[in-house]
Amino acid sequence: MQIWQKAIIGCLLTTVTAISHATVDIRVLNPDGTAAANVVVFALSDSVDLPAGQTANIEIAQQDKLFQPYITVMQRQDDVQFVNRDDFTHHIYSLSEGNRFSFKLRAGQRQGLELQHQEKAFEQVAMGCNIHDWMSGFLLILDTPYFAHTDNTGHASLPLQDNGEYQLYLWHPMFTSEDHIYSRNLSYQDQAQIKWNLQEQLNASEPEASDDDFEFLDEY
Amino acid sequence: MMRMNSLRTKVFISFVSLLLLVQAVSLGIFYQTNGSQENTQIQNRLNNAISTFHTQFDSRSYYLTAFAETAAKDFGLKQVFGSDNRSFLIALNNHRKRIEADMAIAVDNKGSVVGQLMRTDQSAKVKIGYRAGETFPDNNWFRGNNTTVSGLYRQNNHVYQLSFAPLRSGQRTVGWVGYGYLIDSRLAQQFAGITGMKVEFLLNSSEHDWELLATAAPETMQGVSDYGKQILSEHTLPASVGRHNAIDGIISTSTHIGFVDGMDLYAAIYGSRANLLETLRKNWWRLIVLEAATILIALLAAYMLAGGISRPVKRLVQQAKYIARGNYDTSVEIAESNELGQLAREFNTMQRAVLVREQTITHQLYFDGLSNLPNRNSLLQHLEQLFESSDAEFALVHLDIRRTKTVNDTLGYETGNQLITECGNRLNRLANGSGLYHLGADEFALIIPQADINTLGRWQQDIEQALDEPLCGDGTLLHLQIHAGIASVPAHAENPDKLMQKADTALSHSKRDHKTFLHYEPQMDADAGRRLSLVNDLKIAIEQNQLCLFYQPKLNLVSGRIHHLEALVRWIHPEQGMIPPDAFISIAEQTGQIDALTDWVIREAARQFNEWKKQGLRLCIAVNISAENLKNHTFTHELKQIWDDYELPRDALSLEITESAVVHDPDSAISMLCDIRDQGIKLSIDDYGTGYSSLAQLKKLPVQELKIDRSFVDKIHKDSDNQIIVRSTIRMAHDMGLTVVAEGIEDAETLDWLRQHQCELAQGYFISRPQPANELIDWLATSEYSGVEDTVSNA
Repeated sequence: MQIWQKAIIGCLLTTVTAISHATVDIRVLNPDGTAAANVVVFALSDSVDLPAGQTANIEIAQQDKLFQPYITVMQRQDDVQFVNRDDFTHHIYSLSEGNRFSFKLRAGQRQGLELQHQEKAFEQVAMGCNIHDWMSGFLLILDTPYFAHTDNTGHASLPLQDNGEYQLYLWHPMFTSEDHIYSRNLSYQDQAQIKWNLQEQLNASEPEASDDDFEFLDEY
Repeated sequence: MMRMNSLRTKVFISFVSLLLLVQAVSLGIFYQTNGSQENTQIQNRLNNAISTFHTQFDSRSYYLTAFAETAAKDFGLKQVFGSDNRSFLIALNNHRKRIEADMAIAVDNKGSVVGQLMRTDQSAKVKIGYRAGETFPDNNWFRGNNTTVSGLYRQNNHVYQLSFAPLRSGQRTVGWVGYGYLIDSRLAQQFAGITGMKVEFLLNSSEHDWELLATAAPETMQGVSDYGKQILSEHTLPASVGRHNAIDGIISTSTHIGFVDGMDLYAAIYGSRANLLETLRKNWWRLIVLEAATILIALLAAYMLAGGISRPVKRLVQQAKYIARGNYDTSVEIAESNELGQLAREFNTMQRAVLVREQTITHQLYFDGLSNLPNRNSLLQHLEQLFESSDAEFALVHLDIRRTKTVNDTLGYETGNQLITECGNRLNRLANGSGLYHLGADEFALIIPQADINTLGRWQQDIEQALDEPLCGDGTLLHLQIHAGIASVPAHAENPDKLMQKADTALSHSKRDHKTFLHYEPQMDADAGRRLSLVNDLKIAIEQNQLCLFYQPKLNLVSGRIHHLEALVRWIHPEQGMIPPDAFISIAEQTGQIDALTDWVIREAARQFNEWKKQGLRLCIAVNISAENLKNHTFTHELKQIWDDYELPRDALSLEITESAVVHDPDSAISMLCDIRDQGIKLSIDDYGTGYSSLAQLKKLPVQELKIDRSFVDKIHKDSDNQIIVRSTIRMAHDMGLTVVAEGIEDAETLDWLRQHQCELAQGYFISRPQPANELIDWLATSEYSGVEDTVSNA
């Protein structure tokens, strides 16, 4: 959560510094008009050179038998560390094509993830724990610094530096569309305000640890 | 043998009828319920079969699903999913083998087959179906689904029961792992084994086109043709359940299993009706055997029960016959406390009661109720016994107590009975308790054994002595006086009847002759015969003037002259000569001829009075009248008629009546006598002192004259007691204004004594015996008592 907050603050600072530049304001709404929160918004472009962005240290924790955060977005050059903050072992795996991995992480240990290089502009990694069935985490690997999460009101802002043709994407692991992605083109001139109505109702419930099944452990 | 109408048969038959009825009803009810039970059972069987099938089928589906889920979570499988196809197929097959699944399949989330292993029957080897990368033909299985799915799946004309579970990476479904079983004969057999019914799985490709997938039959139905298509084409509803009547002996149902490739999969379930109902049939047989056994036992029980009821009844009938025959010795014993036992006890009680009553009746037959002495029947019995010995020698004394009628009339029957009882007691004591018989009323009989004259004499004395002491009855001293007739055996009779008759004759004579004891004499029988003929002759005698009057004078003791006569009737029988009045007057009284006789006597006396009157003689005539005359209400009138007819002066005739005649019915007699006196006719009381008339009665009697009985007068100069009686009687009569006549004067001393004591008239042999009218006149003319004229003028 702190990492996530730092990321947001970092984004906001960036926005503030480029205040003279315009931004894209996006508001994502469900078909019933409610705000769709924690949807990842990112922008790619074939014509505009995207800035390289800064390298960040990303940490995906296993805490309270949950992946924390549930959704992690990173740039390909970022360093990713898995940290086990629980006092028991997790067996983290991914069957996602191109990023299959599987390793055990004992209590308190941490392990970095060696990402295989691919030509894709974005990759999705669905992670689970082979011990705790319900644990689920997603990692979105992007080749762009333009990404943001919608807040509780469905708002997100992308501080695009240059005008030009962009592709805007909405991603959420629970979207039922192919690759769980919705996209649209954007001809950006200084600023844009986009109200994006989803075609499906987003069921964004995050996994919850079902402690009931493990009450017997308390006796150890 | 049982007779048709006997109680036993009736009980038996009604018992058996009832039993059969109950059995029939129970069988009927059982049959009816069994019929509906049969239907219910069939229906239940069919319903059970269907629900069993679905349970089986669903549990297989669940089993497959659970297994698919487990396999999908197997990390080994996961790791090689989509990366190493060979390894993945091996892992997939390893899982398949664990449950002997007929199909194992994995599909990725794009709908491409990752691997498929399958076999078309149980024994066949496992082959690769779709290869990796081929598209799974039916994407509908997974669309919009994130959990397990189950259903029917058809491939190469084989239908599988298939379940898929999602293979996930974390939350994301990356593919599906599925396992399936064939719908084949294995399933059919399993089901047939459980339900005991044949099952066919049929797929309808078109309306009339049925494809048989698999069939199986339990052992009991081997060789039964396949009816599945027929059943399903006739069942209109997909899952209808019901009895199938089109096929004989088959009950069937069908159920819809599911859809596959747009076709319906059905299960047709059927069984032999006979097999199904076998248990029920067995029950039937068992019931019938049971009923038969029950009936048999019940028949036996009924037979014995009927016997148990009728046996005591038979014994009671036998006992009743005994009692009817007079056999009281046997009693019936029925050791039961029920009604029959009670009846038997009542029977015995009745028997004893009958016996007692019979003894009482017998006693009454042979003993007198009053004195409890043996009666006439006993006497006859005893006499017969005595006569049986040829040399029997004994005497029979027939006794009769005197004046019991008078005692009964005056002192009441209680006193009379006391008199009789006391007499019986005394005689019985005398006879030492044997030989005395009470013949009834006041009659007794005494048998005196070995009776010669001396013995009899002693007996007579003893009897008189025993009865001598007076008896006090109702405040009155009563003298026990008797008459007795004695007859002896062998002298007088040769059988009991004769003997009793003779004794009775002797008794009658003793009464007539006022004797206490009288021995029978053959002469008595002659008298009795004569008496009998007199009864007939008397009527003729009155009509034919065979009667005549004798006259006995009454001497006037004051004047010494005779001017009064007493008329005494005589009967000169044409054959028997003179008959004394005692002999026929009683007959006249008893035969109702006394009125005629009295009428004749008064008219004759009147005629004679008038005749003497013509001759210048005035002789008043006293006529005796009977007590019977006083009962005739017209008697007064008849007297008046006579007086008128003969134009008699009032005193021409006077009437004499005995004291005892008045005693019988004093009131009416006195009233009658008053009437007579009022006519002016003089009345005289005869035989005074022999009756029981009281002075009170005498006072009331309207008589002018009193005749002292001869028993007091005879030889009065020698008897001081009689002197006292006569003297006082004369004085009393005089005081009451009556004249006194003394009769029975047989000597001069008596006449003198009477004269001295102021007796007015005297009558007796000493003066004159009774004489016919003409002789009397002659005698009077020559006697010292003549001088009638004077007397007449005095009268």
